[in-house]
Amino acid sequence: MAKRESTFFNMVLALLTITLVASASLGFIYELTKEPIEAARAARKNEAIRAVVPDFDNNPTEEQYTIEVAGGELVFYPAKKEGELVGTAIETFTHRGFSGTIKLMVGLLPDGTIHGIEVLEHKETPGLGDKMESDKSDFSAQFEGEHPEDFQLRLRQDGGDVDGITATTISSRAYCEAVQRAYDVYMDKDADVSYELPSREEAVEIVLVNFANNPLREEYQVTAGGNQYTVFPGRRGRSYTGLAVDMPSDEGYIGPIRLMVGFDSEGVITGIEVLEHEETPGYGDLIENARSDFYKQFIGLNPGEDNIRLKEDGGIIDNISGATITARAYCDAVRSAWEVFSEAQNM
Amino acid sequence: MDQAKNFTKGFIRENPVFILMLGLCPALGTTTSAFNGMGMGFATMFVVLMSNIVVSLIKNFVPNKVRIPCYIVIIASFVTIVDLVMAGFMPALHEQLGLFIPLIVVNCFVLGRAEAFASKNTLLSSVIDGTGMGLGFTFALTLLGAAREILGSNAIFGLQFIEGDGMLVFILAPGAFIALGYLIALANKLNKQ
Repeated sequence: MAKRESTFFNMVLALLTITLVASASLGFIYELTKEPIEAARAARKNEAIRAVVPDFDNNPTEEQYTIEVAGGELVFYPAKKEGELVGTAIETFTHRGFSGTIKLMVGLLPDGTIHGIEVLEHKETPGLGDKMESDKSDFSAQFEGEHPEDFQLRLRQDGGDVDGITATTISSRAYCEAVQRAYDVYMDKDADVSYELPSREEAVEIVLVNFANNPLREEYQVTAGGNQYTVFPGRRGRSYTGLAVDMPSDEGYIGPIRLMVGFDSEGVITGIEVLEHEETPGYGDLIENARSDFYKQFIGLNPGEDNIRLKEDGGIIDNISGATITARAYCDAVRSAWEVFSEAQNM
Repeated sequence: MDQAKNFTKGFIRENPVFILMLGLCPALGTTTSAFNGMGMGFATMFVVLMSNIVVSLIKNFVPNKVRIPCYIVIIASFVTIVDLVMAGFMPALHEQLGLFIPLIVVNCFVLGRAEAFASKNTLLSSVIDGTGMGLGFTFALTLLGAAREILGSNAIFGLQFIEGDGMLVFILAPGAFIALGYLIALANKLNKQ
């Protein structure tokens, strides 16, 4: 076949054919390698988690949660054995490496003691900065078993307790900074959570549906079981459409939990918001609507007919793993709110 | 054409790194150890070989005026394939070479073979040329990586033979240029004989 002339048609045809074939084959290869790539990534992460925390039997990647901090985010992987928290692997970072961002997996025991550290990602100089990897030098071993409270996470030349890597001061310093960040956020998790619970006023409007009045102006007190509760009725025109109950409970794992529960006129739950709680971040705080779908399973249920208890207590509600007491208190509060609702109907 | 000569030319006589001075960016960047150099060499060799085959097959179908864009698309596709396959099946090596794999696309050496050789020669010659040149490139990168690893970390293919750090400068960028300079001088000397 002779060489084709450079006519417009020939050029378009050649380019079109080649790009079509190229994109088709790339799509094919992409599909083919998608799973192995994901698997390789997950394997590396799991390996790192396994290396930095004590033996566990749960799947930490399934229970991971993220806390945003200045400059990025930290990912927490709780490791549990028989439901008991044995350590937390924290994916932390620093932007102060010699050649950019370094990502570490830091394993902390529940009291904050460092159990192990692995490097996840870095671009440091091979032969120098990469000595921070645990298989290339024992730099990372000096952190093991130390508690950052009495082990200063700074290099010796900066007045700390860490022996830096020769000729790699900047990488070593960055490494310490990343570990410090993981520790700080871990110990002070509550302070770092920026999410705000709704106010009472906001919650009333969220949990009630189908109302035209201002329920906040019509609040009144209902006495049920010897206690007084505040309720907010929803109305459309003259007809009564629902009731929001402000329901405190002192049965939480750590302290009181306060819910706003909305019912329609039949007693069916239309919405729930958490107003206050002091439950454990990462576990009990999953009752917050913004953090899990736990609340969704209540919507549409009528506590007068449905058994609002955890499945392990003979009811129909799925537990929050690792936060049974909190979830139970939540169910109790929802049932109490319904008592208040039916009390209000009888008034 | 003498196919034996065609095959061996890549090692010394027309070695892409030492003589043609092509593909120096990855040659300098990835050769911090012999193993990394070899990995990069084989990745490039695969791309050269495959693009040589395809370019040689379609050389009459592609009009002259659009040949460069066509070659680039072909090369880029093979590079992406190498990148994906490596990420999936050799994650450790991929992590080491990560940044440099996509750079194979702009490696003049690959386009050079397509333009200067495969587009003018038969399929067989192009396969032999691609394999020979690819092996030559791998050879050069492994040699350079080995030299830097021996001098810089007292090791070869990760095996430490003297305790302690070597001459660290050879691991860093300036050491890459110094080592490459000496190797080029050596190759020129061999070529003159």
